[in-house]
Amino acid sequence: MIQANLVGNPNTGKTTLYNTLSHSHEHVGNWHGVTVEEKTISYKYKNSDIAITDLPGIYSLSALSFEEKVATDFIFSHNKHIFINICDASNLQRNLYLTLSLMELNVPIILVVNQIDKRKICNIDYEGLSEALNVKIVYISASDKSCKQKISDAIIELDGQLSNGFLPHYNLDYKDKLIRENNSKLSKFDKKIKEKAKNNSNLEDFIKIKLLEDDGDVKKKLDIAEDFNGAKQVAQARYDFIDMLMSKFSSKRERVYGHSALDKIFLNKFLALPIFLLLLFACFYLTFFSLGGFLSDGLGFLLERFIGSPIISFLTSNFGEGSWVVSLFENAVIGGVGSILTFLPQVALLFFFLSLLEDSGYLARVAFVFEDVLGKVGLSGKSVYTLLMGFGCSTTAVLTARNMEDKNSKIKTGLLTPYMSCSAKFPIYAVLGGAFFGANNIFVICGLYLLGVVIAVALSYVLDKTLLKSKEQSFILEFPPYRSMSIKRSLSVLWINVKMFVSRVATLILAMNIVVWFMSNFTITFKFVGNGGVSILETFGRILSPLFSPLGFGNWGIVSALIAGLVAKEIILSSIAMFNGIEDSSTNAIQSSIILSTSAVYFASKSAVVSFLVFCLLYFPCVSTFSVLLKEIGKKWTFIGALIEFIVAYLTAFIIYTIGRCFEVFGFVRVFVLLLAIVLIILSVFVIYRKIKNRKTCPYESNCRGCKRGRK
Amino acid sequence: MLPLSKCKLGGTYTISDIKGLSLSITRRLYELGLLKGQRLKLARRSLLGGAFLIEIRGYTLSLRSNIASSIFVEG
Repeated sequence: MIQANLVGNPNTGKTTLYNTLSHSHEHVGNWHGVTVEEKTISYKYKNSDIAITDLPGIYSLSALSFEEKVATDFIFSHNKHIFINICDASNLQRNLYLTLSLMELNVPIILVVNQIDKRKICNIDYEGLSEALNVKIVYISASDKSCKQKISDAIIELDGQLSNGFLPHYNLDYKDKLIRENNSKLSKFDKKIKEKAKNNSNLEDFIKIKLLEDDGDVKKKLDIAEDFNGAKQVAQARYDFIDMLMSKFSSKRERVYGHSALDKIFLNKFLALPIFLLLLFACFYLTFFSLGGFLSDGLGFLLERFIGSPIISFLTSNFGEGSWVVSLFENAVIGGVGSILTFLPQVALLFFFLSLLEDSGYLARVAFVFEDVLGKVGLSGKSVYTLLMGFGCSTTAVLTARNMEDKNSKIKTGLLTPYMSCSAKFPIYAVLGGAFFGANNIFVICGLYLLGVVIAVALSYVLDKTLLKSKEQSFILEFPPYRSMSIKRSLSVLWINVKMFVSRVATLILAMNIVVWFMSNFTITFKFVGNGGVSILETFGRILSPLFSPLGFGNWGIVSALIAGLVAKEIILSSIAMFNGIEDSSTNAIQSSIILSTSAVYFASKSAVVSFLVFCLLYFPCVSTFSVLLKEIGKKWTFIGALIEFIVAYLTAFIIYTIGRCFEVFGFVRVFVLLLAIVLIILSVFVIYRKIKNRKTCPYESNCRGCKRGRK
Repeated sequence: MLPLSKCKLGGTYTISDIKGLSLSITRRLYELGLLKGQRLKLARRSLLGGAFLIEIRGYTLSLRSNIASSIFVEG
């Protein structure tokens, strides 16, 4: 087995190459930090087994964020592997910085230069560069079909040389000079360094350079407290060397990588935010209403006509009406799973649009625009990625919080992600909201999405001021160029998401539905409810339901659905379908059942249903997100986070229900005036408080410079 | 010598020093090529001034305002 690691700067196409080499479908994007953990896969090529590991992108061997730490730790502990160092041809001089760091570590390297963009920025003499550095260079381009062959051949060739005793030797003139110049500072630790390097002179040099850079980990391992203050000198030496190489082997650059003319519009001070909101709204509208809604209706019809009805008529004729087998299929499989499956087009489209945003390079611009707000609440513009991914699936989004540099910011981002309304919650809004609001439901849904975002930002602000102060969080983000998405890639994104959704519905959701069906159809003594009696879920639901009466939905069916929804949000809707005895997969049947007061799940008013939707949005993400959070941010904060979610959900739903009821009972105008008065009173108290507080804390009181507050 | 955050948009400047940031952030800026004598262009500022966009070494980088005010440049 030949082992090779893919190493490179963020967004240079490592994962794309990984997918090409191994025929897998890992998620890629035009954004810094899509890969957050190492992934290994092996493939066979010309009788050799090659195991290839994809690592998060790094700029150097000194990690700043958590994902970078994953990569550098892996590199140091697997330095006997072959390193495939991938560089973006359009940004070669900056990319070579990492190459030099790897060469200082003296690991076997294959330098892969990737021409991602069709337009070349400059011409480079790769043969000359290869000779000067004494490293093998493989040039590939995005459209290149032979890249798998080229790279695999290079890996096998290098592996052969290594097993014949070949040792890499790179021509780095600056390295010896750096060490020589700083010998006075380093020599007193010679013994420690030699011991650690086990007399490997290359490793000795590497440790010396890391010491000069004041690398925290290396200093800790060697138990050295002294500051060397050489980071600037080391970086300067590497860049001087790169400049020398570039002047020899590269033509003059024609334009800047990243920033483009389109940014005049997308980053325009006043247009940036409206454009973003408009784009997001357009994505949601297309996904959930026009295109997605149409496809979903079509799918629902087809499922019912060609799968649902035939199965039911077959079963009824064989087992007879009222048997538990018929009930299981009717309610749990066709009513429950079917009602979720009809949302397949919408979920697939949503993920497609999220990928489109990511691939286009627009996301980095969004991060730039939102840095103003997110920086103030202790996050970073980079959190935009995590939060936006949260609209798709919280579980995978939480992992991307590793792009944070500060531990508290990472915890905060992880805690806030579940407030982004994930794709599994959409069917609940669409069906339940639709029953009460009809065409106006789009405003309810937009409101819910917005509410989640506002609560997340507010919560982050509160946490930043209290328990989770950010200390070292910053914002340094490279701008990728705009890129268009190929048709092939669009289709593959759609296909992967369709597959994922169907397999999720066919496994987890189906299994959970059967469990819920069992618990709602059998009594505690395991007797079929069809013969009379109270089911297990109904028993528990009735005990808990008074708790939810203040929120407007204190009936056992709704409470039981919420309990089942702890596992996955899709199950809320399918449980409702089951409890109400829906026997086909069309959502219209559910809609007409929840307004009937005889149903198990019944909503008495518009405010009750909105309150329920708000509670669903906020109360608890799902078991899989919870388990990922446990791993990522630790037990303590996961539990605190869950507790906060329940409290926030309960309070928000309560407030919304109460206000809503007031509107319904007392009329719109009176309540509006009352609310306005309350808001004005609170605001004026706040302003007065600020004025008093500011007067006390004026920093210039003793030596007044004069300001708006007047000269003293 | 003045901090980058106070410079005029669209201008090209030469870095003279980076000070007042933590070691790890300073080191990252060095690694990204923000070294003494390096030319850079201040391309953009966000609406509330929370973020800055610079063009350096042929690529584009966005930075938080506290970093921009720790980078000292000469015209």
